[in-house]
Amino acid sequence: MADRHAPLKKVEGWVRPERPKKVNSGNIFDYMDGAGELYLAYSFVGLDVWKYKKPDAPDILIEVYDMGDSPEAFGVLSFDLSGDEVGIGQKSVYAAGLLRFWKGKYFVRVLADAETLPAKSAVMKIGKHLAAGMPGKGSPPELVAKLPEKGLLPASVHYFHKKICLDYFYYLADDNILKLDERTNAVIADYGMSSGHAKLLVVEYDSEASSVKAWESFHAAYLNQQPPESGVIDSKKIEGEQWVCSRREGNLLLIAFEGTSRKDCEELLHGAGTKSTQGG
Amino acid sequence: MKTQESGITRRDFLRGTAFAALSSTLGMTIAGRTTCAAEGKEPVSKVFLIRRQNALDEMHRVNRKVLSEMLDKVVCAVAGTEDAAAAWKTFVKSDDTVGLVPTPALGGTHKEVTELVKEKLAFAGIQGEKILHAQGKKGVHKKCSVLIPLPNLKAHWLTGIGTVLKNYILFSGKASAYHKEKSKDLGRIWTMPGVKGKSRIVIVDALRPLFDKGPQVVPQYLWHYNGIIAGTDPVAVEAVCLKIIQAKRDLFKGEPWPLSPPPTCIEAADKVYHVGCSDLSKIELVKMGWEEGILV
Repeated sequence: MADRHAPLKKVEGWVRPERPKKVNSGNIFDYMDGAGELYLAYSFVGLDVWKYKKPDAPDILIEVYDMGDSPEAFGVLSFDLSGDEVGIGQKSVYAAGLLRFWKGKYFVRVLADAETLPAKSAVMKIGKHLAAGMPGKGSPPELVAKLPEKGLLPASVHYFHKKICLDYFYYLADDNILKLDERTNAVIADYGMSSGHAKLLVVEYDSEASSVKAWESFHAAYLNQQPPESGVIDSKKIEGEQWVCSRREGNLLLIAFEGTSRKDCEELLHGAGTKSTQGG
Repeated sequence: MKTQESGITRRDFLRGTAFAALSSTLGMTIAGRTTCAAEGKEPVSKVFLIRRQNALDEMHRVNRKVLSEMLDKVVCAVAGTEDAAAAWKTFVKSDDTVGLVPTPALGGTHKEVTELVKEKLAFAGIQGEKILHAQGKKGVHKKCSVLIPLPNLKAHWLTGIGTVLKNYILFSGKASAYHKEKSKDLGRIWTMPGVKGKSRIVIVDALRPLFDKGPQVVPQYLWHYNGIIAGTDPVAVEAVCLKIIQAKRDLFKGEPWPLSPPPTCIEAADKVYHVGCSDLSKIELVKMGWEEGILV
């Protein structure tokens, strides 16, 4: 990564080493065994790591992830949006000594070992300086715009590609019944509806043929029934208490889970994905 | 055992039939039988939890003296003795080669836990060169006659929980075979040659557990639990760990917040691989020390 993204050399008594530790997809598990899968589930390019030290103060760790492009950087941040927005980069969250933000193709973590007032101040200064040094802005994933706004709980929006991420956000099955892979784009979010809460998953496939396969697979494995025609909403009450409503439209698959009422569940699908993009 | 499609879905968990489907997937004929089921109504496994309010300071630093006392007390309780050196000697003999297996990196096991266990083993007569660091070093566990797992308590985004059973994943020689949905088979590693029967005591660092997003540290999900959990049954210890993590998650959200993906490895370690008892009704939990916020 270019040196212009290097963080401040000194901040309020904390000092960083001259050069960062360089991490790439080949050595990411040496650096973060068990956590590297998250970044590899997106288009991870590389990571620069610095650790600031100050006598008798908590260490401050800086991680600057090059995620290849801005939707990927947004996606990694969306893994966890809990915390306070602090106006750094294009979106930021801060809680308990950890600042995370994205700007352009970069995702950044600034972590104080313990949250003290001086450490928090230094974390913010480091973050602002880093964000200022990152040129331009990126766009969030287009798919996120397909989520209906009414009732959307913004901190619950997660953008991803692979089953490994869906398993964490909303475990659906051991098998890959939605045929997710690096070519699929997906977004999942929670909604507050008049009858309760519901969850909406939108998956964009690289072609209509791929979405048809996934649609059939989902119906066979999860609903135990044949799928309807394209564009028709399929609603089913499962285990006597939850509505699952789904629709396929071109290369998009839209599924609402945990609907308290059929009306709310179907309303979510009516409002979602109206600007379907047709793949090849 | 060949990996195959499982057919398990979220609906199996909603219906409470997930384990039957899992056993079927693993090709087991003993589906549904727990290791502890045949033993009647009495508890068959004991797990010991000790907590001290001053085990950590406000900067999250370990009070070494307090931790040392906690380790002595909990190991005495597990061994059923009152003398710490004698307690350790019930788990290790002077001619044993002991492998310590802490959780490495990423906010893993506090180094003070590992260091103190090493000191106590030395005090119990195990010479320094016979105490090995067995985690992540190829084949070292095979040289050991005793393994002491020292994992830290944490949720894991790939396996639900990533504490006791997952701690031996590198001993499998093929960690990737136990990732993602295949993590349900983690119990199998504990039955492998070179591993089976060597874990005479399990000690979990529950000083500052992580209840979501592990293993990468997200500090809003860390809390001062100030505990050490120990026992001789790894599955029972893990079951208690799961109960604590789940209770903390529910408390944090103010509503049920189940781990995802579901941590099926615990029940499978019991019912399929017979490594220990996962049924909390058959586990006696002995609590010592600080009670506030104990969660179990």
